[in-house]
Amino acid sequence: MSEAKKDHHDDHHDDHMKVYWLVFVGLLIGTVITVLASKIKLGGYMDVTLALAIAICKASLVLIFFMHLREAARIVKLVAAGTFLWLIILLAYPVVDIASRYWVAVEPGWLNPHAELSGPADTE
Amino acid sequence: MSADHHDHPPYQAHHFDSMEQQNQSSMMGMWLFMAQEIMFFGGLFAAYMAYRFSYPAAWVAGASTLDVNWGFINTLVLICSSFTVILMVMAARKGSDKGIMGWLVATMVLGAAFLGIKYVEYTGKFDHHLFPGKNFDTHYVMEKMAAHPEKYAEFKGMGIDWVHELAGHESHDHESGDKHHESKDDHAKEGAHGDSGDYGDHGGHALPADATAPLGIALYFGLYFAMTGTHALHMVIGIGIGIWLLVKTKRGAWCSEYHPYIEYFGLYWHFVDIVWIFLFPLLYLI
Repeated sequence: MSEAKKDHHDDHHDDHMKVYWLVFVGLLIGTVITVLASKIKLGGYMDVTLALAIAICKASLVLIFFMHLREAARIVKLVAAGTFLWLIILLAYPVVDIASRYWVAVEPGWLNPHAELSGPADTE
Repeated sequence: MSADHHDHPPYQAHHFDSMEQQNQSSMMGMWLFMAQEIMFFGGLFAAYMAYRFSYPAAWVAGASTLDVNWGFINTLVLICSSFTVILMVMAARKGSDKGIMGWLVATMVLGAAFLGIKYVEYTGKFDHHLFPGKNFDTHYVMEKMAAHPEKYAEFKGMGIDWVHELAGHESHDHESGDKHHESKDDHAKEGAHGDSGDYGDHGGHALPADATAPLGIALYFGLYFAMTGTHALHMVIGIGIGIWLLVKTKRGAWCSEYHPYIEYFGLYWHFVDIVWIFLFPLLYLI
């Protein structure tokens, strides 16, 4: 196909396809990376944080390119941004609550479901 | 209502000034629908997060019963299906009905492949009595734990001391080779625990008498089935919508300027893909 034969619409289409191919390859690589990363044990909450970071990168690629948010109308971008704001609120408040419960030393059996099973010798 | 009705294309509703306005309005409607879908799955993820914080050992033990390879293959299948959806949307924008139908069928085939693999995985879980409820049994989980006791080193004082003891033994007789553990003697000991012969895949250790699964193990499997089940239901609905779109496309409902449901089907399918992008590491890769 010669350059002269392509009209503007086709050019646009080909540019899009190039980006979609890159995103597709990026998602496949991201999947391999997340499996490899899971084999490295960083300890504590670092493993799940790394896994989530990779997943957020992959999800962002899908949202921005495959779901056309990049070229969406501003009102659509606003709805999408609003959704994720509410999602963050939904997840962040329970995280703050639940994660902080184990920061303080607690009496066996009180708020700590594991304490009573470990026996009194461990907690004295 | 002063506008001339013959001034706009037949697929433009009268109350819209332009196709651009109509497209933006319906696109916003689709995103609002997805907003509630995202919040709906968000609730499941919040429950997951709360229980994983509370019962971390159960999550490690539960994930050890899943096959990462199946999850990995399914992730690749879904990403490929997202790409065929993109090709379908691009075909629609070019006005190619043949392209739409071809890529739509490819997408649905990949979706069916995903569900087929999910069926194989679910069958295995039911066979091992891992579906929470009347027949729930943690024997298989404990065997998996015994196979890799070193994974539980950071969960001391959580009622699974037997695993820590096994890990201690492991470091002593590691050089003798793991294969030798699966001797007849070990099998005889496991027989004392009932029908362990049904479970296959022995970790190479006899379970000690005081073996228990970590607290909250049923919550892991409850969330596993709730999250993957809801996700799979979305895929089934997606395939159903795909069949409907196939009929509509065959009847020539679309042109390059007007193919809203093709675009929205694409958005829906990508959304389902995103949910799996999170489910895979959170359920399999622990």
